Amino acid sequence: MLTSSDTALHNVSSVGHRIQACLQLVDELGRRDYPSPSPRGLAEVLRRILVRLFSRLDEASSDTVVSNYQDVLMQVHTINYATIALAKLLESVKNAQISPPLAAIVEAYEDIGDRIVHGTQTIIYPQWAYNASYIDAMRFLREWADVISPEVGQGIFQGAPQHFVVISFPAIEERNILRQAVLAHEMGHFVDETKGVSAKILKGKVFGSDDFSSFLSSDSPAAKRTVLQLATRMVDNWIRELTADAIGVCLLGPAHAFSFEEVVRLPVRPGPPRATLTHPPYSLRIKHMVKLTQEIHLKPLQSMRLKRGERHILNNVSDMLSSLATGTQGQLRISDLPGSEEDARAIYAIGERVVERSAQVLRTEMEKQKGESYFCRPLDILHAIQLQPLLENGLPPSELESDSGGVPSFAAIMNSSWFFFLQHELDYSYFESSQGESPEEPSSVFKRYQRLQALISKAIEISRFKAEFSRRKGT
Amino acid sequence: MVTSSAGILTRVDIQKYMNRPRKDCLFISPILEKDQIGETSIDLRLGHHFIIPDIARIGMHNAFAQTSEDGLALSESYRSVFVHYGEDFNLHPGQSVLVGTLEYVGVPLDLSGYVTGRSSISRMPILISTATIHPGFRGVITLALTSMAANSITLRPGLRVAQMQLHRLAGAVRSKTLSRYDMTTGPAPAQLDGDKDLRFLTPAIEPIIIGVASTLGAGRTTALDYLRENRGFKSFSLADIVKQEAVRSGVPTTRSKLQEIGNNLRATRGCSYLAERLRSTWAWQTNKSPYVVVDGFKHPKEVLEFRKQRRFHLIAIGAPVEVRWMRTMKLRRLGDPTTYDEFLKLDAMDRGLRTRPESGLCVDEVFKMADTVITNDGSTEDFYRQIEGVVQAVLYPH
Repeated sequence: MLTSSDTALHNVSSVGHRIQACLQLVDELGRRDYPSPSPRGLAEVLRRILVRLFSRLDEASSDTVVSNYQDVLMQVHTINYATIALAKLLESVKNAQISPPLAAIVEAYEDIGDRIVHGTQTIIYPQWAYNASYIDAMRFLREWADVISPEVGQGIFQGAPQHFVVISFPAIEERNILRQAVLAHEMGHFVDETKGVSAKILKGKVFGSDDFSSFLSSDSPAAKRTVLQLATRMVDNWIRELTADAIGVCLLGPAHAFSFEEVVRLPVRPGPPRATLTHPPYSLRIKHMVKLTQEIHLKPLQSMRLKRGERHILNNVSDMLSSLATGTQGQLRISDLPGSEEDARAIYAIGERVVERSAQVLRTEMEKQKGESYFCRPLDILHAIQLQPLLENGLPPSELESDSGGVPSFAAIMNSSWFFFLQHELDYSYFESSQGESPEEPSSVFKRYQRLQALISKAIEISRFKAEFSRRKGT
Repeated sequence: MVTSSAGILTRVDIQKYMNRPRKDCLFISPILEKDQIGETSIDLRLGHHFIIPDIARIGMHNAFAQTSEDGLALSESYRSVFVHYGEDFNLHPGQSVLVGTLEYVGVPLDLSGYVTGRSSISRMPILISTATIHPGFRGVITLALTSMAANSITLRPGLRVAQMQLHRLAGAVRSKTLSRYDMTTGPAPAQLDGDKDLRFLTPAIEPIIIGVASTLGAGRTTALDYLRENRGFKSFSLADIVKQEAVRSGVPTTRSKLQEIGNNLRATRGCSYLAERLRSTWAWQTNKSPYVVVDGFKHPKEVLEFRKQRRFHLIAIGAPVEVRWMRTMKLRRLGDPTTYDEFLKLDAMDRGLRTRPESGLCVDEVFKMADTVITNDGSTEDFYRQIEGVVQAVLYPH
């Protein structure tokens, strides 16, 4: 049952993502040269599936047992709203004009998605919030195809893309390349879904643990049936989020932690860190992200032989990361958790204990997986440091020093940009305009920031082009 | 060692310049193939971003105006097209497009250069306009492509279309500031408004401009009506720029929202942005009236921008706060404050009495710059008399 506008939006968004994935699939299938059945016939089958999906949304109101008129009214409104929102969403996605900064980011994340599972379709589009859905399209479509047309043969979807990652982010952030490092968290959900990282932790280390069992059987005020159910759901959600955070850190390194910290400090989310049923408080998340980043990305570099300037930047980055963890302390709000204040406290306590223990397991797990081709390597962080002179001279971080060779990766570019941005705090002379404005004037600061964003976007574009060119050339 | 004599750079020189330290190196990224660097030139490739003049949306352009006849900004009269790796872009007969090079170019202070079309591309025939690369330039080079062919021509990102020749200067330029096309990362449309001498090329009759600054409810509309109807002044408003922005963003045009948008524009585009923008509109650039009134001055830098005009006179219109509140109540215009407290709050913001950023509203500061201050606390006839006095003084100074 939909109980709040937040949940409603979340549900609408999830269904929207599934439908969007289907439409993408229709397009993909339409482009392929199938001997039989004809793409048009196949598209018709898929269209029927989508219609059924919409009608299922309508049926939801009658399926749900409701106790009073108010509930019915709310559901009718919600479903109506959902349908309109979906229509608008689909329309906007279809008509969206891709802007240059977004194009660079989409291509970079598409590449990561493809390296995680070959053939994955990654769809990133501006919407109203950060959200991610992963769809195993074949399983989903076969289920529906059987209902509508059982005679459709098994080979019908052969060769079609199977995995879809649909990620949305606030449209207002479209030109903010630095902040898009936070999307690595959403890709983290995809890795988690396909590799089953959080499921393994939940099964072996959380729900099977003595600690959790004793909580379930305790006589504490929180041990009421509904509260226990909610606590179990909360722990499940929190571990999934924590896993996505950890994978996000592995995908993009310190840049992910920096962008995450900036996003949670946005004025649209004022107030102290809060714990909800779906997400652990951000102070807890940042603390673990920082710890993992230090261990996986910075520690290996500390023991390497670096030039003096490089070590200085590395130490600065390490200090800035540490300050993230200490800077997010504050009064924690648990009033969003269910039950009385006492219940909420008990639920939070178990959540916090589970998170602490799981974070350690996650770090070990990530340590094991860090050789994956889609993960950011310590070498990428070293490249990010070596790319600083380019940014300092108003040049895109798209070329490594001639003796290093190769192309800087997406992770190297994002990290180099974050290191530069944080070290110079917009006090970089090369980006100043010639209009005779005072460098402190807000418009001048804004222009400098825009120029930096555009430069990063160009660097990603060049790096992607160069990599693709080399791949096709066979070098 | 790079030789110091002036001349066109050869392949060896180019490579030496590229290997210099980052601070004063020749930077070209990406170089995809070694033969991209020729004996005396470097081949440049098509980038992903094309911008196409959207002739369906725009009536006429004036080189002196940054907006079209219908108020559309020049940058909005182009349609942006992103072409992915391996995808086609079809250039049709007679069509002109702007495209950024794939390469980002950084030139040291002792070099300059020219970009011309490759001869193979000219034979298609596609004309590529020549660009000059100034010492110290950094950015993507915008190429203007025009097809002279009888049939459509398919292009793709990465295609080598142009070549850049670099010349060593007899002496290095001492220092450099960013020019209007520096640090662009995609194709950039013309920005003629950066030409400082445009204002000397105005029509022969330079209008007499009366600027009006006023506090809320002080009688600005009455003054404008008088000047328009009795004295034949043509009216312009800085607030119209803000309203256009509000309509474009789908924001309601209440006073408080307009204040907010105006502040944002000043903060992000510069404190004199509204004045600069008004003077670059089609309506302003094609104005033939010798008498002009401009209202809506809220920041000293807007006044300074208009002081660049030879014949500009600023009137400040004020009145006691109770009188202004009674007038506002009487008129009850859409979007006006409905309570006295709300009025006081808006008034304080408007006058800059509250803590505000540098780019915030500050009518009180504008009042200090006025040539004439009128207190409108009497009858309408008194007010008209005072305005007429200003008009007489401005039109007949001696």
